[in-house]
Amino acid sequence: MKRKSAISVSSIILSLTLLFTGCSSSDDTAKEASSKPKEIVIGNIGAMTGSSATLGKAQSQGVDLAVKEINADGGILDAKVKVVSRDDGADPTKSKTFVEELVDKEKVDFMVGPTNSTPAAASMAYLQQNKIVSILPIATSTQLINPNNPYAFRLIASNAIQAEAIVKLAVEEKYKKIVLVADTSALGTDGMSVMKESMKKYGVTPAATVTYKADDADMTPVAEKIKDAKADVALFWTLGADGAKIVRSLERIDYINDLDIIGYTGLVMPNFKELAGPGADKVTVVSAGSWALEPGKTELAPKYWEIYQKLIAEYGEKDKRDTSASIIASGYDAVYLLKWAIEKAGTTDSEKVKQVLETDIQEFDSIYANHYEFSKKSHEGFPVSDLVKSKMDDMAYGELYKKAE
Amino acid sequence: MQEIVTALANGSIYALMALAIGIIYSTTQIINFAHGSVIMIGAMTSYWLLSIFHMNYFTAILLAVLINIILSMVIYKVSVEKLGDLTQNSSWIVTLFGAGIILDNTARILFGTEPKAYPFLFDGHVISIFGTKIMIHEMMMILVAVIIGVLYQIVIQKTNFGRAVRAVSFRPDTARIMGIRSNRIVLMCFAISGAVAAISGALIAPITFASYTMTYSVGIKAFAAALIGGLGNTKGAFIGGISLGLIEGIASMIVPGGLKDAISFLIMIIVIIVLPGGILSAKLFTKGELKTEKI
Amino acid sequence: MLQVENVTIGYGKTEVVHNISFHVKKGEIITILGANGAGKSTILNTIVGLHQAKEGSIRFQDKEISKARPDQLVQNGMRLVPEGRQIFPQHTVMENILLGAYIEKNAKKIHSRLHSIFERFPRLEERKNQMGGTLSGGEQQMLAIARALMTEPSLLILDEPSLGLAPIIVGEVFALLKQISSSGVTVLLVEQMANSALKISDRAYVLETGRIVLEGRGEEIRNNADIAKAYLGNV
Repeated sequence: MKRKSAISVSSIILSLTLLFTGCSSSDDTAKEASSKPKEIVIGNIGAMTGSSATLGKAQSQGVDLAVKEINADGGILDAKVKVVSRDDGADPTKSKTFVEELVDKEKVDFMVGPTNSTPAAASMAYLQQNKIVSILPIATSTQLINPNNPYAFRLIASNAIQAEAIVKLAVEEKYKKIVLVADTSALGTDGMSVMKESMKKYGVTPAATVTYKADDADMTPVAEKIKDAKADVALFWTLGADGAKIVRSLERIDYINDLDIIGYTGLVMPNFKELAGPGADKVTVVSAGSWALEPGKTELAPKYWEIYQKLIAEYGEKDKRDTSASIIASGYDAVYLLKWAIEKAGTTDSEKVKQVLETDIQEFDSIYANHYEFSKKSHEGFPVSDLVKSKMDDMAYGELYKKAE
Repeated sequence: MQEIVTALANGSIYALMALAIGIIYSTTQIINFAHGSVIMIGAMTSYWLLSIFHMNYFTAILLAVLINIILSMVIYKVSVEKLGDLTQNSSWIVTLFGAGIILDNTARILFGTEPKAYPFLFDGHVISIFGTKIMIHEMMMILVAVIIGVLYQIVIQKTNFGRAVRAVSFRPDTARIMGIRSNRIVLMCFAISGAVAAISGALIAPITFASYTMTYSVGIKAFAAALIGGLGNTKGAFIGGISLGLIEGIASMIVPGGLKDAISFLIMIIVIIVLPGGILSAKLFTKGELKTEKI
Repeated sequence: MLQVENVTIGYGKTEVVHNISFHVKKGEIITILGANGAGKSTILNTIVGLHQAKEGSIRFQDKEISKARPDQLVQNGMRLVPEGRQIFPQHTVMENILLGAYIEKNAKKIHSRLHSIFERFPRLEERKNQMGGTLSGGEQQMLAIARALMTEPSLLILDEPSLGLAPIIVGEVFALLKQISSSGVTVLLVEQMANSALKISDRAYVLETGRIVLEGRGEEIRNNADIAKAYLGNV
């Protein structure tokens, strides 16, 4: 009996698979034919509830605002743009199911998101099989962009780019003894390995590498190891609360004054200073340069300032929303990037749009990074040079970084 | 030296947490899987009272203790007592896990996901002893743990209630024919366990920050310490807690930080295999004492 | 004093005791005889509230008690000395006795009862700081009885008090029961050791596989060798 049912189950699966392959191949022909589309559907997936809700909401706000403007202005290639949004709650299984739904039922032509790295990784294969050009405005995991994902393009600075930027800053500012700090989670291990690679690239040996278990109670040993290495700078690939604990331990063993700390964006959290104590002043993080204020200035460069005002007009000041402006900008840029590439290609055909993104990206007028660097070889858009050192706990308007002097 | 002091302080709190698990285990033979969550609730409610209502430390912790006592009694009433004979019915595993998950999610909704800076006792004042900086808070952690530990042993050895607890843990049915209401005693044990959990949560929260994830980051240590010391052995809980603190402290000095927990848990497993009754069951400690003919 | 009427007891679906009835009058010593597995302990545990009867009524001092909790029954003057004595081995002798008085909150009463207990059992006073587990079997039985007397019960129930004791000690135990009875305590006894028990009993019931098959005065049953052979094996 069991055997029989196993056979019938597998035959159902087989026929379903055939059915779906059939569908997607007919989709392909449909797409090729539609050089003058009636409607362009963009999928938007992110965590809009749960602990990463602010990311998904920010992406959606950016996407919605851009689409609203574009439709008011006549759409793309005279076609209206429709957005289909789904909340995956940062759950990879849900995310994958939604991606399948959006591709198969909603017939999305392009995708923005998912916002979180693990859901993005889970969904990527299906998007690639169906040749959906996907823009990742928020997910940072290094592995998401690789030759197996030829239709994925990333706007935000990936972990690898952030690591390189942190190392570059430390080397350029002539620190003598650089210590690398990361936790042992997947995220931390990824960060540690890319930081080490970048160190090698710049020909510098770290004075020490320190790892610890994420969310551990006691960070004194981490602080002691930084002190033992006589570090003058520590590069923190740590999450906010852990980073704060380390800073506090460093202060306790009287070493914080001999040290500067440069962290990646994961270190940022709203109450970092409260958690870390006075030592927080020694901490800087890398952030998108275009969205950070020059020392002494109260406005961003005109292009970005204008967008910022637009976001505020639409969604209110920072205290009226829990989302962050630069992330909304990244979502907003994702839609305009697609618009530009489709219009330049004159079609929604995935291959042609992809080609435009790879070869002509310097023509696109971006508003998140100051430019994107896509090429045939790399689909990482964010330039290392646009990551700047910013003050950790001193933000303007509650959300804009101030560049460190 | 610094590390050893910190390890001892953390170890004392692990000991308190293990004690609370042991109090319940000794009378019921069940492991309170919701205990991590109860510790977390103790920390979160006292933080909330401290920061929102600007209460003083003492009042805030006292109220958190009360809240935890009620909470633990509710947990007993809802997820344990209804099950009847616990030796016949292992549903408590599910109900207590479930209670923990409900508490964690409630805490996440009530208090948010962001870790909170929990104030140290005496404003984190540090004193220097032989060049080692010791926070008064850390000394208080050790002191409070020792006081509670000693107090508990006195209550358990010298009072009517304590005799009844030991009677219930040894022979629940015989205790009942003495006129002891075993359920009452177990309920009281849950209450005491909740109170101890609140204090341990409040004392460790300044170090770990107060957050709904304490259930896992801190709570798991409670179970490890309880197992090392011997489940249900309330003296062993102290040995277990302090050993776990020291093992962690020493391990993190000599191996990469990420391996620290692996080593602590490896030691825990070795202890369980070699000495199933916990460290105190080693021959070295039992001397000539009679073998317990546990029924 | 105690009326058990048409009581049926079981664990889950298996019935162990079938529709039994018996009664105990004030001042009597009553013995229930039966071989291993006849359901004697089950009956006693049900009377004292550790177990619930499926059907039937149990009345104690004219009150229905089949749903009462053990502590309520102790409060009302019923005490069980359990099978195998069940001393708390890691409590001292003194603590064991004090546990017996758990429901008594009046320190004066506890003190005076302790005094009379130690008068009756000088051995226990000598050993009051020893662990219960270190006592000999006979001493443990004394302790178990002493513990039960701490609430001055009106009905003392004993589950095989002779179990595992040397014959000479058994004699002591039964002499003690006789003495307790003469001080006004009603005694209900369950035994396999028919001879010694019947000697001191006013009446007796014989239990076989969950049913009462015989009832009579202690002497009668003791003198009826056939009955003894048929139901009780070697006496």
